[in-house]
Amino acid sequence: MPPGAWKWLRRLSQVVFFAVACVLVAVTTYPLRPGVPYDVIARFSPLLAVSATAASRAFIAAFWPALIVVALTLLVGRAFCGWVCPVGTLVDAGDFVIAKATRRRRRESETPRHRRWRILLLVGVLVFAAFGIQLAGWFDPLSLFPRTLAASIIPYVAMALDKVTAAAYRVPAWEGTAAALRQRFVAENVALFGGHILVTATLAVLILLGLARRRFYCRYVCPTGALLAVVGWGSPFGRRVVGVECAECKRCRDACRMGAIGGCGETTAQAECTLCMDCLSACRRGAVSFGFGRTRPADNPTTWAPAISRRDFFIAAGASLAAAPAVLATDGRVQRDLFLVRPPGAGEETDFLARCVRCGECIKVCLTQGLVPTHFEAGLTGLWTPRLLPRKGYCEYRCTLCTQVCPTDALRPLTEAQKKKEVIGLALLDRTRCLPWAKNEDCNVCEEMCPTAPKAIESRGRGRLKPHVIADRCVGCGICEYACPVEGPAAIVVVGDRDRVYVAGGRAGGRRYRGGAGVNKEPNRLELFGGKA
Amino acid sequence: MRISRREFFRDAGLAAGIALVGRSVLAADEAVWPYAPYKTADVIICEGTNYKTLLSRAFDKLGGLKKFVKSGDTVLVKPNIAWDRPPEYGATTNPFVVAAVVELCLGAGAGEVKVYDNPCDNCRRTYDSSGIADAARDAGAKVSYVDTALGKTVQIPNGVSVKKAEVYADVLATDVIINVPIAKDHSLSRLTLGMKNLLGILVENRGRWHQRIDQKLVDLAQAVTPTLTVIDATRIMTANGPSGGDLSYVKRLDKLIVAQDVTAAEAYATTLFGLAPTDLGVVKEARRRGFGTADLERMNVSKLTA
Repeated sequence: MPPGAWKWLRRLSQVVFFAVACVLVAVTTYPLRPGVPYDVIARFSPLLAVSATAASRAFIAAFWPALIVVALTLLVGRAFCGWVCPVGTLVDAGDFVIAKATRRRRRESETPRHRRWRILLLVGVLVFAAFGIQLAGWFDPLSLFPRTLAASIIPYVAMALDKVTAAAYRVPAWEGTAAALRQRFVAENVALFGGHILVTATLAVLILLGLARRRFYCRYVCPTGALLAVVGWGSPFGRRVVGVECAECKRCRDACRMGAIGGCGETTAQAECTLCMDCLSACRRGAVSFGFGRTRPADNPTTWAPAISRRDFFIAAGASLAAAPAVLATDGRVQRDLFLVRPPGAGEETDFLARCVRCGECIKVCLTQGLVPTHFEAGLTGLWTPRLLPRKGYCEYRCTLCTQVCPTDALRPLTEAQKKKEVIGLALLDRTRCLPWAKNEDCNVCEEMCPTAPKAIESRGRGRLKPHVIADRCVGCGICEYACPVEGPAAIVVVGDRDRVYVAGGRAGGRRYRGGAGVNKEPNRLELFGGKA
Repeated sequence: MRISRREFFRDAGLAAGIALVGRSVLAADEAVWPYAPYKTADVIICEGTNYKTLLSRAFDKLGGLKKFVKSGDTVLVKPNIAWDRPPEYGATTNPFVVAAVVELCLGAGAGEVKVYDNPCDNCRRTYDSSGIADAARDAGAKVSYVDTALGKTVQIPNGVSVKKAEVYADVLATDVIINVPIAKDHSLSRLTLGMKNLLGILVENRGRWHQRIDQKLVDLAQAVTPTLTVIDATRIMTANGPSGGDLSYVKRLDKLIVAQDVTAAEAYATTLFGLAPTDLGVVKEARRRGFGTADLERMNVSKLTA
């Protein structure tokens, strides 16, 4: 095979895996087909496997595909980064565009000491995981990729499709196509979405870092790459340079996107090489080859280890050890946002936070698009976990989609019968804004929409019927808040944390909640729940 | 206070004059309403499970379906697909009834039969759970989702409570509307029958339609009057409506009520729930306006079994 062919083979592999990953996320939608591994992308990550297992103190067998990546890396080094990883491919594409746009000959110097940052990050992620704080998903490419598609790219595309097809209706020739597209893809209101800005900004930063160095994220940030560097450092497969042929022209060194080639081209940092095969075709004398059995170590004086100095390690580990308990003590798990409603199956908040790898699959699959990534409503460490915004999209009573696509079972898989009993929040009625209560008008849309049997919202009263919430029937699905016809914020809102709500005439968990509720510890919100029972 | 004889006659005359003028103004309004009030109504009560035969014979009694569906016509069969419930919960129209109506329309020479509804729950789930999408498609109908981007404003100049409505444009392009609601309990309007089912053709936010709902329902039914109404009472939901959710609320009656006059069908259907027509606000409102026949004694009721 000619040297250039390997490069094209690698590109083909990248395109195929990238396309498969995109399609897999895109088709994660109703109706789910049995047997399709919708959640498999995140399960390939060894870092997510280690981090989720450590943080949740539970062996998560679903991560078996990560073992394939580990085995591959042990055998041939970081081929995963160069041939498979969809974020790597994305960064490569970004770098290509940047190179074309800036017309800069990319001859970057490599500073190996900067590579310690991602190892420091890896140390930090693992130390935090030991304390039950799950941060790996922020940086891990196999979480970042589906999350970015689910919470940013696909909603943008859907919104564009909505607008474009709606405009195309005005052109008679396009009407049929527009209608067909809308029947297939739109059908629901897709123009509203939330929590996307930070996700999008992260993607933009990731790509723009390419202005400084090619594969900047992979070289200096990605802790998963760091983990694979440690695993693959000693792999028997790698780059070899035949000394007598090498003219020390440094073409291969300049071609290397990972900065993995040192000296005048004769040395290789095995832990950095992603086997992209660029150097193979860059060499004009055929001095470079890849194979089992590496060059003699004596010829490889600068093969830097994927390690950090003892001093750096202790600084990183020490800082994380000091920070983790402080974060635990002060973060949102102690006092989360009252209006943070978790998806069904989330269970206890601390355990949920430990298991959730922020991959965004639940956000993608949500039929009503009510699920969005959090910012800091669940505390700093809860960033990008899913929350339900009922005003935007409610939780469909008989739907269990999000619990079916969670890779770590942070959302436990629920049957329809279990789902109908799953309580995710409690509806509170604001009598100062509710039409029958405040304006003496007919309404009771909330009662009409309420899906439970018997209904958790009942109209009572002589003359004008007025809605009352019956707390022990309410599952917190939020369809009442979604459908409430009051302009702006709804007159009935769902709180996620029942324990922090008090109810006039008894606790929320008690027999009756008469609507005159207030909220503990949130005096600034009190006026929202006016009226007396 | 005392008034002179003269003042008395003047005031009395004035009052009588105002009353007369007012009456004639109201009468003038009625004259331009876009429907002809029915003097008597034929209401056909079908009983049995052979829906297609029953409906075919019922339509024959009304003069044959061909009287309403001309060859090549586009027909909208409008069932209730509002909720994400399996059909046995009686929250959505019986899919077999929908299929029977579709087949009969095609048999009568309809060019195209469309089936859709703008549901309360998520449309993809309701279409599937209700069984209507599959049944109607198999029967030869074109099943689609209501596209809220394709609204058309319908002016209701004589509307009492709403003056205009944002209606799915496709509805206005159809030649025949066959209204196929399910008879069930409703939290606000007590029951939901023929006229409430028409809310599914709206593409606007329906929240505001719940104030003075009875007036608004009649306003809409006057603006977009269904050609035929088939009330599905094969299963009726007697409590926790409109979404239901428990089989204990469902009563199996195996009945269908067919009429040209939506008010008459609606009025008769109240009796299935042990109510009188005037117990239902919307029937009372229709009666007050003379929209259709609301009195049972003015109905020409015939029964069929199959």
